[in-house]
Amino acid sequence: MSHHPAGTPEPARLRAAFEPARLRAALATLVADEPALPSTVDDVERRGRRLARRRLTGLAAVFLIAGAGVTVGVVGLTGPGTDSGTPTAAGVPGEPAAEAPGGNPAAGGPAGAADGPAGVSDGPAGVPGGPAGVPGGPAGTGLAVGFPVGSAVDAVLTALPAAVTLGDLPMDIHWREGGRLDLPVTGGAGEATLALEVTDGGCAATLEPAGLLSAAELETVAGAVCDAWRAAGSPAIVPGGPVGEEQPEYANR
Amino acid sequence: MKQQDLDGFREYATTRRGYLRRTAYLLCGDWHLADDLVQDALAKLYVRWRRVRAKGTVDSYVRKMLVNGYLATHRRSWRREVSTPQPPELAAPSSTDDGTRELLVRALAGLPPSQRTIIVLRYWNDLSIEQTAATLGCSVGNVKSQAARGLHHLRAALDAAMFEGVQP
Repeated sequence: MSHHPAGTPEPARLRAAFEPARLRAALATLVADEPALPSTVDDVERRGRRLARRRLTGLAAVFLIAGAGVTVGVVGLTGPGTDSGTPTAAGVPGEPAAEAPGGNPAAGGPAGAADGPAGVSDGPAGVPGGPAGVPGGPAGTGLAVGFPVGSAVDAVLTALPAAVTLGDLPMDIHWREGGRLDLPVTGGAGEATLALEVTDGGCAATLEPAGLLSAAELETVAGAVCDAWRAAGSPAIVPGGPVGEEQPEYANR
Repeated sequence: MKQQDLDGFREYATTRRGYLRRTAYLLCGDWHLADDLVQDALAKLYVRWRRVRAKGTVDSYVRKMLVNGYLATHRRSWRREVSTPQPPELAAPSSTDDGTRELLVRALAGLPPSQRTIIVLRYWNDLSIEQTAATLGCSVGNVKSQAARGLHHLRAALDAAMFEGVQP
């Protein structure tokens, strides 16, 4: 006959506790000393809002990449860029110093400098002269060049004062002509649109209507965006956005 | 999110948070991590609240998020448990506890994550084998075999503990 010392559970009772039918009661003993909840439903909501915003930003970035790829491709097909006030996409024909990232280094020379009136060659995909910014030539796709909207949004988020935060970002968020990006901001005093402008000459931030942010705070935001832009290597600002109302018809491909 | 949806979400989160937290604790054995897992799962639910509620699958969705979150913590190398020579700090046994609790904690901790998940879903959440399989995204046969193995491991842990208890 086995004996069990004081303080150890009685074997038969233990075996019973591990039977499926009584396991629930045994598991209940583990959570009997549940401590008080450290967070509230408000915390959960805040976390949910942050997650939703992150997903929207990610989605917007995908749209931007797709839109920028198409836009840059169109620019490459139709002729040289003429907007000298705003940085344009690397590799746009007419910018001798720029080189498309997908260009063939072995071929030498900047992308877009090849023969052909609009910088498009008749050669195979990937040769210099393919649509600027779209590595791999007319048939290929690739990451868009340019300063990502997400980087600008992150920079703004870090620079905003505690009382002011970004509102819900629109689905079609994108850089506009002139290196402009509009972001909704909210705070105790209401809502406003923060207009960022990133050009070669520097960065600026304005608020419409004014009031949510002071001039010094706007300067801080503009400085943060400029820092992020420079940290990214002062890339081009590629105006873009959804190409049309509807998604492309992938099923027909 | 519209106010009506927000109210619905708040009501659900308020009423179910405690239950989800206890489930999460049984999965991971750590109240802090359990809080984190529940917040994560509810935040994901917040994002898809309208769609999930319209389908009428709120409970199963949030349970799935909870389980996925728990299993993900085991896949992350930086969060893996580290063996130490001394056992971690344990709660002092209550006056009514005869040792079963501590034994169960150790037995559960010894189960592989998937088996532990199945034991918790089946015997704490009272899910059917089919519901458990749907939550984990695996076959019914897999749930059956894993549940049987999990129970076997629990009993083996019990036998080992009892064997230690009768050593002179």
